[in-house]
Amino acid sequence: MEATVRTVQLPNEHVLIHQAQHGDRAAFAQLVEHYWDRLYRWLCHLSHDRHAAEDIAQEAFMKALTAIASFRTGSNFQAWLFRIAHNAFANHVRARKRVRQAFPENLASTDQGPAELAMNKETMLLLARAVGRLPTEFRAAFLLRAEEEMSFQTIAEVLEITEETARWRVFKARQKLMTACGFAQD
Amino acid sequence: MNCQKCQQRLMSTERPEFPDLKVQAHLAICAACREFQRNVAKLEANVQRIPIPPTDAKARLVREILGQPALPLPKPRILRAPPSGTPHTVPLRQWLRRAQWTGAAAAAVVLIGCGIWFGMWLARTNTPDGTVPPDVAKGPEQTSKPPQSVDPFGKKGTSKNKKPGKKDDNIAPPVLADATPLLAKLMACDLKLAEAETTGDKVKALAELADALQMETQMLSKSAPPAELNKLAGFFKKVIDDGIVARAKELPMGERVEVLKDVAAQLTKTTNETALLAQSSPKSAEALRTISSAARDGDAILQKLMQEAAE
Repeated sequence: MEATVRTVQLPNEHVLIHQAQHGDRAAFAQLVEHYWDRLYRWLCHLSHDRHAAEDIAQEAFMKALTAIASFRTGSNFQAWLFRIAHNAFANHVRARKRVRQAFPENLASTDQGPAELAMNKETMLLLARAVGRLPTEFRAAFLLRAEEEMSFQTIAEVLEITEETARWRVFKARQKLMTACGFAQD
Repeated sequence: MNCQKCQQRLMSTERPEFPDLKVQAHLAICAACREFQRNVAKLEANVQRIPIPPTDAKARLVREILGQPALPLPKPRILRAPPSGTPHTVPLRQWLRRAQWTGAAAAAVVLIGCGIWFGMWLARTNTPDGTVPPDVAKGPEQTSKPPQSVDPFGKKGTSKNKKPGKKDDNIAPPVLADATPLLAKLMACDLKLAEAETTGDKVKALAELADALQMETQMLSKSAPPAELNKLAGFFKKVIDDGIVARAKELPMGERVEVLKDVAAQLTKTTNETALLAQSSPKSAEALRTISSAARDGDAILQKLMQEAAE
């Protein structure tokens, strides 16, 4: 049996959503505060363009605010928000071809997590480049799993695919990344 | 279970660190697969450490949502309050007296146009007795937030202004800075234009005026009637075409890049922001597209001018 995923929702999220649905913009602002960084980070990885990520995140939140009344109480707000952002990203890709921004050479040296899991700078660079080179659909699914710790079911909901397709995309992304980072075994 | 199957199952499970019992049994006897499992976990843990560029867009969005001034202007500016007893129109007159160039004339048209536009807007926003309409008074921040004209998400804010001509001794005369953020910004631009000594300073002041206009259009895009947004967009286009671009062409080669770099970046941002917003606001799409295309065209000309200077 697979372990449960980390929950990222705010403790009082349903209250905030309820208030936002009744026009309380301060409540919605709290939701923005909580989800902005996650969404922006994901969009940065998808678009390779900081400005596009900012624009799309902003557009997603604005659309979410406009449509918050239609959000079904009890369903997954994060998945709903990320789905809106993914649709906005898809529109953005269709609308224009953006120049890919190079991956920053100066990687942050802040270590997060257990020391035994930390990679050295060179491997981090390899990983970052490999993530950037993943096909967009694999990258989107993999990052939702690795960064947001979403279940395959939620990833499927965000990307509007089946759960099996979500599992397949994460599997393929991991496989490619393991090879790129030299971890794959023959 | 062999190693290949074990590793495939590790990669296709939600959490490779918590595999199923069959995989666990294999891991117990296979050091290579345990190493593989550690590496998959390492990979995912380190993805979260990949740096991304910092952004201040969250703060700006939160401010917009809370109904505060949506996007701070590029540089902190001192809004000089007119001395008490001095009519607010003095700086405008001073500037108009000094206006001997086409860009300034364009800006004058915009300032006057916006003044008329906002007069009409405020008259419509307030009820005949000068009180806030019931639908406007509904906002939760009504009593705690400073007065605003209209927020970007469709609710009209409160306004202290009485309808012109209405007598009420209990209400202080309207202060321009309180009237509307746009009027306050226009006055600030007016002062800057009046003080501008060089062509570069004039271009920068006009760029601030253009920015104020496009920001206001964005903020009103969900609430104002399309015809009024189109007027604002028309003013924006005029400032770009007859103001910024015309002045930019007169800039000495040596100053072009320095002066125009930031203005061009601002226009790029405006192009993108308004084009995106146009997609989600069909009612105001025409005005937003006018701004987007004016900004794009202006940006293209500025880029060309900078390129010429670089060569």
